[in-house]
Amino acid sequence: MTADNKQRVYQEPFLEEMFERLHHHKVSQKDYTGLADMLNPIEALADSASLGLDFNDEPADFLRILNEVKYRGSGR
Amino acid sequence: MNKVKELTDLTLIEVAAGIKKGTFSSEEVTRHCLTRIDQAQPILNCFISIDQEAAIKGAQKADKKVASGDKLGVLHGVPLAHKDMFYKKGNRSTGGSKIQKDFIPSYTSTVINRLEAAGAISLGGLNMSEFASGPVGQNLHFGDCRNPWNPKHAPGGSSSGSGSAVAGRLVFGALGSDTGGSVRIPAALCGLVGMKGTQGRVSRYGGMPLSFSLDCFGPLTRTVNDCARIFSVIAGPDKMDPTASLTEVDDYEGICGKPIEGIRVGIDLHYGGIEPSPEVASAIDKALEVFKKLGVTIVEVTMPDQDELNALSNVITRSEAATLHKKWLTTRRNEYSPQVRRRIEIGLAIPATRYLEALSLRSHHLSRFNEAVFEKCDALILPTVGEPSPTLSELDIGDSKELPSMLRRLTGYTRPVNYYGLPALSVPAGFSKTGLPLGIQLVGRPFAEQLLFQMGAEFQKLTDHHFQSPDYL
Repeated sequence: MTADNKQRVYQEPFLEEMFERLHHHKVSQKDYTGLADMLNPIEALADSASLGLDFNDEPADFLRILNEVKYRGSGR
Repeated sequence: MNKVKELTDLTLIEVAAGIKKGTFSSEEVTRHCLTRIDQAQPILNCFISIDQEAAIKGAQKADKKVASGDKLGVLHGVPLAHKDMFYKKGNRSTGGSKIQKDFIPSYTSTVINRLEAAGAISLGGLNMSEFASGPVGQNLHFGDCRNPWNPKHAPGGSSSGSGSAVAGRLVFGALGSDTGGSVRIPAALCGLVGMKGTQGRVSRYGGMPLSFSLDCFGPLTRTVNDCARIFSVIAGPDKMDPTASLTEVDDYEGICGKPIEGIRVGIDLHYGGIEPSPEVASAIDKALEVFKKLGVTIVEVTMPDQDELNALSNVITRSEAATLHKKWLTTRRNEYSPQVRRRIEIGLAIPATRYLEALSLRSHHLSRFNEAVFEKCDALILPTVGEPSPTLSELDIGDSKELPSMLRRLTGYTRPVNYYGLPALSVPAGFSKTGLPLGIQLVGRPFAEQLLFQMGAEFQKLTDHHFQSPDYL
């Protein structure tokens, strides 16, 4: 995949097919373009961030870390 | 100065004390607020509904309780109003939307139950961004809410009416919700204090959801002490919300006034890669000078890049919002405003794996942020919004191509804090050359709300931004 295509993962025909097949939902071409414009930069950054995931990671780890690093007074 | 203004200029704590002592009655204060709302509503449009009759009845009941000598709650007889998304059994709750404009909930939210138990009076439902989606505060269905510091400017959102009504001296405090900055942004743009607590610190039960992983409810007030009082009432475990934390609630109000000498405040001179306007950067510098006078040590830190965190946060919010709205997106699509529909609809195209990755990465990012920031300092100072409030016409962009950059401008500093799940207190930090408020946020470790209130209260001892009052009437 070229760098340009990677930046444009979401293109109008892809979104149109996905919306129709998965969501039984159809919107205008202008809307597909607007959705793609918003989705592509998010997707590029989220894709790059996903490289940091490990096999055993799961969403519930967040609550464990939230409690582990909680504030216990100045200078901790 | 007339009596209406004198009473409505008091802080929440002063009003609560005055009602308790019998200096004035709750009915007197409530009627003054209602008179002022009557004058201000055509200018600010910050209320969706005004419950005049119920408010006066509630105030009369509160006054009888004062006369009886019964034990009074800490908000006894104090008029508040809330973003129109906190359910109260039998009362309409629109969520700022056309779709829910006639929704009557059959149960009451925990935050409203707790405020009522503390004696607060509600004057009505406040304007907000449709479905709490949008940092500006525009609303196509109920009309735009305006900023009392200059009604041509936005109050910020999504808790726009909460910011506008409290800054406009119409009520003494208001609840908002914060999924990406929606308490802190209007607080900053309207010259108020706003607290977004640690994820799970305040029960979400009975509040309209936008994103169940990131939604936080919190107060907007004029002073830090006022904010601490409301937060003390609403925070804590709740059997109705299993995601509410069981962590013990600290004394938030009692800490206000205690010195902060020796506390370490972190500053990232690159602001995580998002540069604020020179006026906001200057407000941060001045705030650091104030903290130095208070004996605080300033420490340089390097935050992780904010753009990546904003993207991950967006993946979660959009996926969860699309899940909640999916049925209406297909059956009642035209009843959404185009911008809100666009922001929710993108979630339909995000794969489940991407969503779960964004959730699973939260622990990594929180650990990394903790090492980079909180291993070196107790709290981080950041702009709340990188610029003063834009005009409403400047923000009238609908679902156009400018939408992503506008969202980055307004939520770039706030949204990552929701992703980390950290508490943050936005505090007034000065004014722009054009007289618009500027805000800073203090971000703490998980469950460090007490420290943030302590720091904010000390900051307000040496500053007077919160005493300035907009002259819009």
